[in-house]
Amino acid sequence: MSLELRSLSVTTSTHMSLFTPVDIVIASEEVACVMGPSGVGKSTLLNAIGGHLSTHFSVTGEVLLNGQKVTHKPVAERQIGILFQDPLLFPHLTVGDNLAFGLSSNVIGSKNRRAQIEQALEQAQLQNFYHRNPATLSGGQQSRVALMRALLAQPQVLLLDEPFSKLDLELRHTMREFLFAQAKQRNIPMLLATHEPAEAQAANGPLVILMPA
Amino acid sequence: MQDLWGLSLTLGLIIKELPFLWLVSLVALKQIDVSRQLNLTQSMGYSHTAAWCKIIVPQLYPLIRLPVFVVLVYALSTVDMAQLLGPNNPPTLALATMRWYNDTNVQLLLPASAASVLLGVLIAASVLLWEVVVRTVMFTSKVMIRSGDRTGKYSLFTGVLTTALPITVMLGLLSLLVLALWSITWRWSFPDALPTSWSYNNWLQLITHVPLALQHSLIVALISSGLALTLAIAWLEVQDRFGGHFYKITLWFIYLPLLVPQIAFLYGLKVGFLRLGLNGSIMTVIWAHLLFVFPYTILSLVDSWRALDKRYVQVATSLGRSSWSCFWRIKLSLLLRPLLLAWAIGIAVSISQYLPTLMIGAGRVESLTIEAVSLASGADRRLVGVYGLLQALVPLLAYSFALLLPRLVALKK
Repeated sequence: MSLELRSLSVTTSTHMSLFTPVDIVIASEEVACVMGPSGVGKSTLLNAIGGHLSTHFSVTGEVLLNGQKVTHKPVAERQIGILFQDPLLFPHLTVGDNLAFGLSSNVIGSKNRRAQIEQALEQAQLQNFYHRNPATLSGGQQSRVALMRALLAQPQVLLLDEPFSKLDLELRHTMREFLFAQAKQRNIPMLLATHEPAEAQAANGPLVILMPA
Repeated sequence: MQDLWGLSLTLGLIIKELPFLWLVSLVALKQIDVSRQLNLTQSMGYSHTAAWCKIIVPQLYPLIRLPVFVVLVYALSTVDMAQLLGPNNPPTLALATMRWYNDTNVQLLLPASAASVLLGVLIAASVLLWEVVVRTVMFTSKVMIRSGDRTGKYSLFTGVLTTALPITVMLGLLSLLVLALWSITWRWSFPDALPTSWSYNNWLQLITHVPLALQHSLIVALISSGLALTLAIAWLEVQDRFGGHFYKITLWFIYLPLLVPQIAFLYGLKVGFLRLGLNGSIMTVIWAHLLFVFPYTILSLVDSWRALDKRYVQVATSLGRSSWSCFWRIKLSLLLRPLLLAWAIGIAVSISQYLPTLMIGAGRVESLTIEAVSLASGADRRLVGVYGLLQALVPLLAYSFALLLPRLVALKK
């Protein structure tokens, strides 16, 4: 599985480019990082790849997933997962139901599904959290659940928009290691938007530096 | 109306309540992070519709639960809509109750009172039934969520809904258009698609009658909505400053007049005022309107008020301004648009009140709505056109004012 960006850029409605075009290939198990000054458009780049661009913007260039163009496919068909800065756990569902919601429909049978969810909770060190209300979890716990939910959907690529910026240093380090391990285990490429050089170094993958156009 | 199933009444109520629920939902949706949650859900493979139904709607419903109950109660207890659009024989319970109350045969007061109680019980049971249905739906949908089902079984369902919405709005607009046509008609017989002769006579003829009804309606509407707004601001500000204790309980108390059928308790109110010799005065009618205008004003204001970032006022006071000055110049200015909208809604509610003006006003306080309803039961549709249009025009003017003034204020700056 690979993610390729060919001359990808985002233009506003007045046809002004936000940043210089991006060309990169990210292979599976690699964690690429997108860096750049504040406001240059890291989140917008991620939105463009994932298909969440607001109508004010348009995309130029191509996004290729495993060699197939997905630049103009609807979000639901792209199989590109995304993790935002806030965990965004659905408040009306329990932790377990949140994960069940994310769990891909390829997994059939309620016993099977339950087993996978419990396994995910164990990996995140949140055993017995199935019936908890998301609002009662700490920031770090919520981030872990959000990450597992995104991964349970079995995406081909995972995009992360500064997902750990609200956590303290130590927690950030733990989550990062966890994330990299998951990339290797699930054999998918990841693209991480960050403004921390330490994260880029730890990722040890391709680096995209966005410059204003 | 001759239809036994009350279909015209149902349709009329749908058209009437749709803008209210839509407006309330729009305000409520601002409290939920809709776009990011939709994006997130779609990235997991759910279609836009599935995302909306499974994630957004369950979060939206608790926020609009109270307005939905208000609509339910109104539908069950409306008298003027039932008179115009409801089945004739037998009429709706609310209408029958009113007819018994108004009958010259005093003995009919007994079944009238019994019917009022029955209506109350019916409303409580309906609300309960509604909640049971909603919870069952939520429960079964949880089961579906656990299965991770992503297929678009919703397409037919939402297809029906999305076509139904514009059709309903179109129907509403069309009826307004017909009303306008009737008001300038002289002669319009059944098979013709358009009036055969036009005239402004209807408007001219009523130049003597309309002003009184218009006057009274306007006075009552302006004063009651102004009072309601002041009270609402005072209540909300006190809640802010002295802690929101008992917030939910007081809110349910405020909504009580909307959750109890009007026909049931207005009669008691009328008797009480009669004893006090206050019946028939315009001040009493204003007070009666206030009972209903106030909850709607609060309902439309409270979310925007609470959503205002408290730090604005904190910053302002830290700059050394007196708290009154901060309140006036910062808080109220920032809330100008919601305040004006709440005021306009108050006006609309007051204009549409039928029973309070009728029963408390004892015939001495006129209103556009009373005239329109009594004319509509009659045969002359041209007069109905005039009154109906006026009745729709006043709230429209209020809403336009509420929407335009903030823009003018912003332009001046």
